Amino acid sequence: MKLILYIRRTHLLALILILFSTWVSARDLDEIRTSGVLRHLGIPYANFITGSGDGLDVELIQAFALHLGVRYEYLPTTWNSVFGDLNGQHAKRSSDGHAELLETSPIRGDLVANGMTILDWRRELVNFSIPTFPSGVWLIARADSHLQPIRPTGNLQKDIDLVRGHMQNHSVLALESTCLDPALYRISETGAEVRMLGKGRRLIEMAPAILNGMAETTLLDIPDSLIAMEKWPGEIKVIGPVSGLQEMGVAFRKDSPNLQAAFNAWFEQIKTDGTYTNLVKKYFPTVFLYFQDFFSP
Amino acid sequence: MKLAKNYLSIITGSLLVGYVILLLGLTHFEQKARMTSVIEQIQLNLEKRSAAMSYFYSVRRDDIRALVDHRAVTTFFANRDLGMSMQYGLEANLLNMRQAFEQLVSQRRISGKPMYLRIQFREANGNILADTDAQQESDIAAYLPMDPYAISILPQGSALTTQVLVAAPLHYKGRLMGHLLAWINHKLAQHHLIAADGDSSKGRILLHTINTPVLTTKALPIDSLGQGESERFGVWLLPNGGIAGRVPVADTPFELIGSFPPSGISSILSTRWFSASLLILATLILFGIWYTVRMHTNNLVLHARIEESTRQENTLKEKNQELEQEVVQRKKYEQELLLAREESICQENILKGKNQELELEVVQRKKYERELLQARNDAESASQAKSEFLATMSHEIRTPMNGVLGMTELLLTSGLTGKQQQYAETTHRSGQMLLDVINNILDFSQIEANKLKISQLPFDLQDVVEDALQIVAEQAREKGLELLSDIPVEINSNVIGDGPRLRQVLVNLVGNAVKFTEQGDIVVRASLVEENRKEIVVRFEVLDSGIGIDADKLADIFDAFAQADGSTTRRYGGTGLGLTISKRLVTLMGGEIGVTSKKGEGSIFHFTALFGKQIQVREPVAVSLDRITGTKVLIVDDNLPTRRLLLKKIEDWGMQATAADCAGKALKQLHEAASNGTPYALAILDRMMPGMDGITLARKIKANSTIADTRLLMYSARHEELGDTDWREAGIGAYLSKPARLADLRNHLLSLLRTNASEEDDVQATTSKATEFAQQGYHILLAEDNLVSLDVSMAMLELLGCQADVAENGQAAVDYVSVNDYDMILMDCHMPEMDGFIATKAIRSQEMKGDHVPIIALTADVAKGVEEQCLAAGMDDYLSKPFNQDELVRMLKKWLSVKDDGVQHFINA
Repeated sequence: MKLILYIRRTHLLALILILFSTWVSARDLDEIRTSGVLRHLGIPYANFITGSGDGLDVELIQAFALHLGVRYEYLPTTWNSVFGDLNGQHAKRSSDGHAELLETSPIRGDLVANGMTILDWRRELVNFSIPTFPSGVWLIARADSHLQPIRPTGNLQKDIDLVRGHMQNHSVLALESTCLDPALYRISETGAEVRMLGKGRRLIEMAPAILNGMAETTLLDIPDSLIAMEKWPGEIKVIGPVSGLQEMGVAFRKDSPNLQAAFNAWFEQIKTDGTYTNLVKKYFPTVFLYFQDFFSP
Repeated sequence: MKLAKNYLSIITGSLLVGYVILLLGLTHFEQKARMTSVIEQIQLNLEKRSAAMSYFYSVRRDDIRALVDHRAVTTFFANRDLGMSMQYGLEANLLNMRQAFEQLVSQRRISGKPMYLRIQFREANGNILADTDAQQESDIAAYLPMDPYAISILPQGSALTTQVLVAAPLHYKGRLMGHLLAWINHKLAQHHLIAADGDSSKGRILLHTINTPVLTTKALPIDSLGQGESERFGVWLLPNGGIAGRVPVADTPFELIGSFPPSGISSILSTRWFSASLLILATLILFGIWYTVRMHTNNLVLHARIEESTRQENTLKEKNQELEQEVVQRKKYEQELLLAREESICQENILKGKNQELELEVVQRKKYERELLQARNDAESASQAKSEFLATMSHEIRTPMNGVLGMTELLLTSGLTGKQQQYAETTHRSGQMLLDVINNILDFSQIEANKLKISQLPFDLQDVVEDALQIVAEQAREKGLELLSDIPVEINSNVIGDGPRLRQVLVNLVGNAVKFTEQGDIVVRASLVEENRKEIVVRFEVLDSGIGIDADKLADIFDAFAQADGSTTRRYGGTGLGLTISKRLVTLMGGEIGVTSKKGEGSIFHFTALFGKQIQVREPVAVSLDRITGTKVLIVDDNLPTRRLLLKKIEDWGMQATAADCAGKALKQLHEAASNGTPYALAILDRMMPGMDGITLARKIKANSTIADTRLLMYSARHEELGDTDWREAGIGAYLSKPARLADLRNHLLSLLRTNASEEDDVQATTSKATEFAQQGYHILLAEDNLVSLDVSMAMLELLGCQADVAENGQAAVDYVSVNDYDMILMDCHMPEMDGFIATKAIRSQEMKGDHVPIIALTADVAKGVEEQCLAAGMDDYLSKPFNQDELVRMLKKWLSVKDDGVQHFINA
């Protein structure tokens, strides 16, 4: 009885601590301005966050912090803990396509920006800014694969169908709870053999993984595909699209509406004056070939 | 004065002209040097610009090569090769490629202006993949076809080219994908690299495409440049005074043509007018001088003519006066001449008489001259005949004398009765004396005729001295005299000179000493007077303890036929020629002879001689003296000089020697040494000693067990005689007669010191002459045609126990040698059919390498040169007839012992 009492007391204490910490860290624009620091949660991915201290989203949030008049602080996180670090409670995509809340966690940051694709289940957890970057997912194969790149038909959906029609019996590498989650694209329905990259692994490891023989093909979003093509010319090939147009955005806690609004306003401004386009050209010069309309002011 | 003035003008003018010519010359050479310098500058200028342009295009090639290899370019083709579509991936690669092109265009600039006007990638099918200026059409047809393998630089036109295309092919997996084309801003490059510091007044430089036409203008006279391929490039002087040059631009299709007009060069070479001015000035000066000189000359000529006419007039006057005087004088002479002619007729008559007298005298003188010449020829003939007679007589007398002496000697050994022995000895002595007289007369006659010559042949000094002593040893022995020789080791014994003549002098002096000494000893001593690298001067002394010579006789003693007094001849015999001959021989040997003597105290005859040193000496095989080094030897002899000499020699051989002058002291010393534990290994005993003789001493030594081990050598002035066994019975190991050769003494010592008793017996056995050779079984060839000589020689050889074959002439000797092995050949020099010289040469030519049979010449001919002739023919030694048995034995011992001991006495000249 005493033990039960002890456990309850411990739990209570922990709950109080969590609540307190959540209260302390969960903050909106005013608190941020007061504290004088904007905490940027990020996962190294493509040229959004290179891991070397720069990247499109690093420069974007740094500029935003400068705009707010606060100090910028980068806090690295992972795909598994990113929602916990932002909201104070971990979450994942459930099998039915919705968000599933998990254990609580201390809030560490004020926003997430690392080329995060705007997906429905994520919308249940966070508020996204206006889209900052276009995306899509392509099927990439090793150069020695029997799969041949499709001939574009001029229709995206037809091209997706062509790709899916060729995937049967080929192994496909995917990463759960990311934009490369196989469930998002119903890969299992194609008859392909889905192989998951282990937990805690990063999106930038997908292309090297297939080169190392982990699978014949991999799902890869367009920005990362373009980088991979340059990094390993002649070693990988793009088979074709597996998704329609996707968009990426900056994620905010649902209780930080002022911060979100401030970002959106500022973002519209830099998009209009060409600052953002120049920034994108620096990190993704070829993206304009595919998504010219997206970046038009 | 006027002439001087004229000269001054010429000299001044010449100096001026010379100066002008000098200036012209200097100007000419300076102009030439400047022209060379200008040409070199132009050449250098063109080459510098050409190098700049070549470098410019080499950098462009590198740019384009780098662009072809750019990752953006290769990525596109790699991904396209995988079948990727433009929509899904390739479009991005293509964009990267284009951006790489644009980056290069924007980076490469000169003065802010781009070097590349346009870069594009054109596929092999003509499709343009990427282009930095896609809006503008590219007229590619002008550059086709392009090199599919190498980077090519393609100019658009000729001199007016403004654009140049650099085309680089791109291959992927061995397939030609197309060409990367870059348009170069050629005009910009030309402006900056060729005409950057251009000054049109100083010339014009044009970048021209090789093998394309170019307009020839006045400013650019290309036609006048070299036309042939080999003379295409260079710098030329143009007919208009300008300079043009042509240099290639390396690794491009361009060349630089430079033209520099005369106006530009004239500023450098503007000395022409100066030269022309100088020429005109020089001409004017020359003309001025010519004119001045001409005027002066005319004046001078006029003056000279006036003076000449005045002078001629005066001269004519003088001549007239002289002629008048001469006419008077001639008349006077004519009168005198008439008188003189009459006088000369008288004198002419007198002269004719004198001439006739002189002619008679000349005839008389010529007659006397003829008679004198005849007398001289007669005298020379007589002298020649005398020489020939002497030589002939010498030979003719010697040959029978060989028979007489040889046979007498043999007769003496044939067991005669007392009376017979006496007669035979007298006969032999008389014969020997006769031979000496003949020899002396012969030598004296040669001295008188100045025909006595000294030969220069290698010989051993020690051998010659010992030979000389051996020759007179018998006489000394008969008188009981000790003969000793002392030649210090520091005298190099291998010399060049006349050994036989030296021996003759020594024999003469020692013979005299023996003759005039009744008791005591005679010592021959040599000492070194002087030595240099090539020559040696040795002083010889012959000391005797004889009758001595009166001081007043000493001066004449070397004169012919002189002896101390007439009674001497009667008492001691001799021709009295020996010392005269010796003096002459010593003088010929480059020395001096003399004597110091005191009546009743003995004499010292001394002489010096100059010898050459042998350069190549075949060293005698060293006899090992290690075995006897340190051996204790006791010398027992009552004669002090003998003791001293032996002590010295034995110590020279490394032994410890002590001496005792009598048997008693010897015994005492032997006992003392034995009791001290250092007994004498050997004792040398004199036979004849006062008190106790050598034999008795030996018996006492052998009888006492403490000293009996001492080995004994008898060294006696007395000959060992046949049947004399006393010494052997007394326990003496070996017997050696004085004077012994040093080599013999040493060999006996060595033999005695051998521990083996049987060897000791061998030593004893060798002491008998007769058995010595017989036991060795020597086989000798005797080549001799004279029957008497043959009998004598054969008898001697048989008596010595040698086996001998006889060859009657040289050919027979050669035949014998070809089928038999001989230990020695005795070769008569003069034989019928083939003489000894030819035979010796034939034998030597047949000998195998390493073989060498000693050949000893036998001849009665003692004429000068025979010995040299013998040695030159290959003979080893020389035995003069008549020879006695001792001389033959010496020769046999010398050469046969050589063979057995391996000690080489023969000196290879």
